[in-house]
Amino acid sequence: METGHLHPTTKIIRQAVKFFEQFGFDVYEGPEVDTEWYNFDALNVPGDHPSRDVQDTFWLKDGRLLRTQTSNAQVRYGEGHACRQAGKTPPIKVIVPGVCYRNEATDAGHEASFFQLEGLYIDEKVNLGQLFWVLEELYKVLFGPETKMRFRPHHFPFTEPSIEFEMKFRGKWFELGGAGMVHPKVISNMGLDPEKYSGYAFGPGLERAVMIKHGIGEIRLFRSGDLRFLKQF
Amino acid sequence: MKILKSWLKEYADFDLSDGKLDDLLTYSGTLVEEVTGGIDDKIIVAKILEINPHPNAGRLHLIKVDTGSGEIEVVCGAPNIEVGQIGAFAQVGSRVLDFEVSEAEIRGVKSPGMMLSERELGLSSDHRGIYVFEKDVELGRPVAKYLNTDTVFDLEITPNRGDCLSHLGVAREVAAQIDQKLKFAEGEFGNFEKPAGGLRVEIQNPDHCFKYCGAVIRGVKIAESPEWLKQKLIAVGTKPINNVVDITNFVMLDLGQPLHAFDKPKISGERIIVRNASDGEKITTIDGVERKLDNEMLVIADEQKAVAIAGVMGGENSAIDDNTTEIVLESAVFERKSVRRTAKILKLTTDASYRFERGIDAELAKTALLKAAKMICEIAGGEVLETIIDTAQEEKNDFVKIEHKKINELLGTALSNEQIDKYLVALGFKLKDEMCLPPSWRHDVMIWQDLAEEVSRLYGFAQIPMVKMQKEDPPKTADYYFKEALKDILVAQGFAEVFTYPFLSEADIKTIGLNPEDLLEVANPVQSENKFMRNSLVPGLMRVVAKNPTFDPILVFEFGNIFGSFEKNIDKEEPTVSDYPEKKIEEVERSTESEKTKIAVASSGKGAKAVLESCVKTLADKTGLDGNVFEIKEFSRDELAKYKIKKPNVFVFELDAGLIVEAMKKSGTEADFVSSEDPVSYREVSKFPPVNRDLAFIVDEKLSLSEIRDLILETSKYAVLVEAFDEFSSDKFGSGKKSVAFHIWLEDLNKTLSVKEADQEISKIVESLKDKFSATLRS
Repeated sequence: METGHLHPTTKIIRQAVKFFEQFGFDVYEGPEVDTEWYNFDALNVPGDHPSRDVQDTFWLKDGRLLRTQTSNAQVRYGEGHACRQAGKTPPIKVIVPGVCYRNEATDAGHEASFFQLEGLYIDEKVNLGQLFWVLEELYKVLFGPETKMRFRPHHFPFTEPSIEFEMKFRGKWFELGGAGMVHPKVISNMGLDPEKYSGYAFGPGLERAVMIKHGIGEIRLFRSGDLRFLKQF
Repeated sequence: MKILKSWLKEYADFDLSDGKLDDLLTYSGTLVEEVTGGIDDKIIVAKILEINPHPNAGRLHLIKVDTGSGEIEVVCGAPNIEVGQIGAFAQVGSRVLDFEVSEAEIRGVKSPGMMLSERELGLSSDHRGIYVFEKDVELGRPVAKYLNTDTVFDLEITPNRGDCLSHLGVAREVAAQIDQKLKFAEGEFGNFEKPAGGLRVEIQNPDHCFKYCGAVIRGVKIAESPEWLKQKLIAVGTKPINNVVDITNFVMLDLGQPLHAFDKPKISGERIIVRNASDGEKITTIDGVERKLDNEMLVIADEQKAVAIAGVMGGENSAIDDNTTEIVLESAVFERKSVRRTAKILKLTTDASYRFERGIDAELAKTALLKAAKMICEIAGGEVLETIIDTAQEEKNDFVKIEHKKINELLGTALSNEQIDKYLVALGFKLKDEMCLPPSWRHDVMIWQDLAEEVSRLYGFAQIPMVKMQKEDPPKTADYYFKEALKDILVAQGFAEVFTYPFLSEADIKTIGLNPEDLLEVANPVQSENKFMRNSLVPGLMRVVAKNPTFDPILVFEFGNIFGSFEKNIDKEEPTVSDYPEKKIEEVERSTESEKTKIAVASSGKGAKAVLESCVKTLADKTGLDGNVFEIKEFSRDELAKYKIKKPNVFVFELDAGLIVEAMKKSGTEADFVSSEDPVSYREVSKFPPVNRDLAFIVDEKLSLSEIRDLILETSKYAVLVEAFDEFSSDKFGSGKKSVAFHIWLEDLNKTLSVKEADQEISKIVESLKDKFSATLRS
């Protein structure tokens, strides 16, 4: 009778993919089980640095981990890209919708597994103004043309400068996620020359965006399999 | 980090409202998480023009006030009001104590704002009447201009900015933003520096202790701190203990330098030794806990014993007490990683270790010591006998080249070299030709990109022009597109997509009958549910079936990764070590893969088997995959019982997504999807179980199902979900008529809905459909 339903997270990913598609972005998913190198070290997050405390990591018994962020795909895709197109140069344009993990007690606002949307653009002379534009346009597509964005400085080891971005939706400001200009060490770990190339990256959470959009107060519904919830979308 | 506005003003001359200061800090990188105390800028000076009785309440009045820009009438219950009084008026939207003023209706009269008492202004506990200005004030101006109250800003300090973990540090940020000089003179406490005496410092590990400053103060009297000091500490969330300890805490919050005071007679000998602990050495810290140390941990020791864990916490054996009269004050610089390691292993994070880990200003250690010494002499009495400054190693920043052109290119700005240099100078950088030296309190500026961040913070993100991206043809070759196309096929057949948890608990693997050795195991799960990684999507779907007893049939599918040890797919374009021999990726090259994307589809309840069989057929037709590859599993009653499923049946198949995608690629199936969005007016889902009712109606043929559904939702706030399950026309309903049927789920957010309540809601819905759409209920 009625057709079935796509998960609301799938829907928002689709909207984002369709937006980035127009600018030539590829889609890559990357592994959820990864090494410390791709998830931390390659992203300029050394083991003895306090910034690691920010993320509660699921370590596996074999020494690997569950990615804490889709950023693990940055160097994986970056070097894979360079590898595939041996001899060829950037641009690298990719978005990475995928599951990430945080080892923490869950509540209405925190989940142990959730989706992020990573974006990465590396080319000659990529600048911060381009990042601001692409984020604002993305959220206009997701939340409507009235949407306003604002940006403030922040700190992430893998970007320099780093930013956090906020969105005004129905009269209120919401914090959405982090982004920034890719740190030269990360570009270098992709096998590229950071003096020649620059780039931006971002990685907002997706459930949060869906929650803001529909006024959902409980993140655990997303993986509950509760059909009263899922069939509303 | 809590910062007191008045304290900040001791170092930076600024006249900023709380709101302005909040923005200034937040948009330069120091996020203000919370502002407490203080008077909101929307609270303004207003004069009472008229007082009239409230029509419905004897003790209340309606007062007309002049707010400078207009007149407003509000309700007021204060007994002390008089015409002509000038007071504080909170407009709608202003923050008063911990609430926001909204337009209230008080006994039937609207009140867009309120006059405030002293208590509501945070001035005192007096709530007997409204606050009345006695001095000359201007109507409409923010009250905060005239009343001196303090505000606490709770700041999020990022790990790279240890220098902002003090009032001096935050004041530096503010001063740089408003282009002002900092009011801070390091030489101020010079009088308290005394020649070295009998006490000697011996730094045995200069790599982990760069500097040790000490002072011996005799004749102190331990007592409670004076009120002003206690109030200041309490305001920023630090508990007062006694004068000497409070002063060490005060100076840390003031200048960022952690300090420690030892009871001198409890130190044997005349030597302070900074050494590594011996393996297994024990010390009881001032929190009363015995700590076992290893030989990489640094301690402060006398000739016989350790008296403190360096940079983390002092020892009980040397702690000051009520009878202490002579102290050794310590102001030292410990290496960041070493303190971090110790604090992490001992699971003991203190205000001191937190600051050392993030890096302190080595050049301020002596000033902090002398300031604390001065305060102790003034507050606790006593005199400084001797001071000792022992520098084992100078911690120096390196010069960074200012790449003006590259900075502009990275930011997308066109700043002149002078502008860029000016921002750096404002932040304390010393310039020399094309180079600059980061100030001693910064440990996070190493490359020109770091300078770009500094420049962008001061220039302001809002001023950076946005740059549009050029359109380009998409590659659209990723497997993602094929998977989404598959989802559309399943959705068209009535299946709902779910995401279930990728974890399994001990109990789960027993229920399913799995061997833990076949599973990827989490080493450090915080929640016991997250101990193993799933090796199949099926158990998750079974849980979904169990969770939704009021749905029949249940048709669900999931795309997701499963984990374990699988044969490697050699077609995958992953980099290998041979491509990057120099890189540290050897652990990547494994002979097996650890995860795989699967698709699982399940059906349960009415017609479940036929639906799944038809689904397989459609998938095979549309993807070109051989239908025999799909193995439908039917669960036995016993198995269903294990999952607590009451439905008579569950059918499921699970496949490698890669297998279907390959088939789609081979058969040339189009891989794309539409991104359409129907408006959703989301209804919150109750924690209590829903009641499911089915209703069938005869309605006009032209009426759409969504119109009917919307009316049902509009009629009953208890209706969480309305789903059409039948629609057909027949002559027996009369011409132009059709029959429609809906499942309706009713629930209450706060309790289980009773049968009676559900019946009432159903009647309401039937009535409403009859009224609006002339629908007749089929019995």
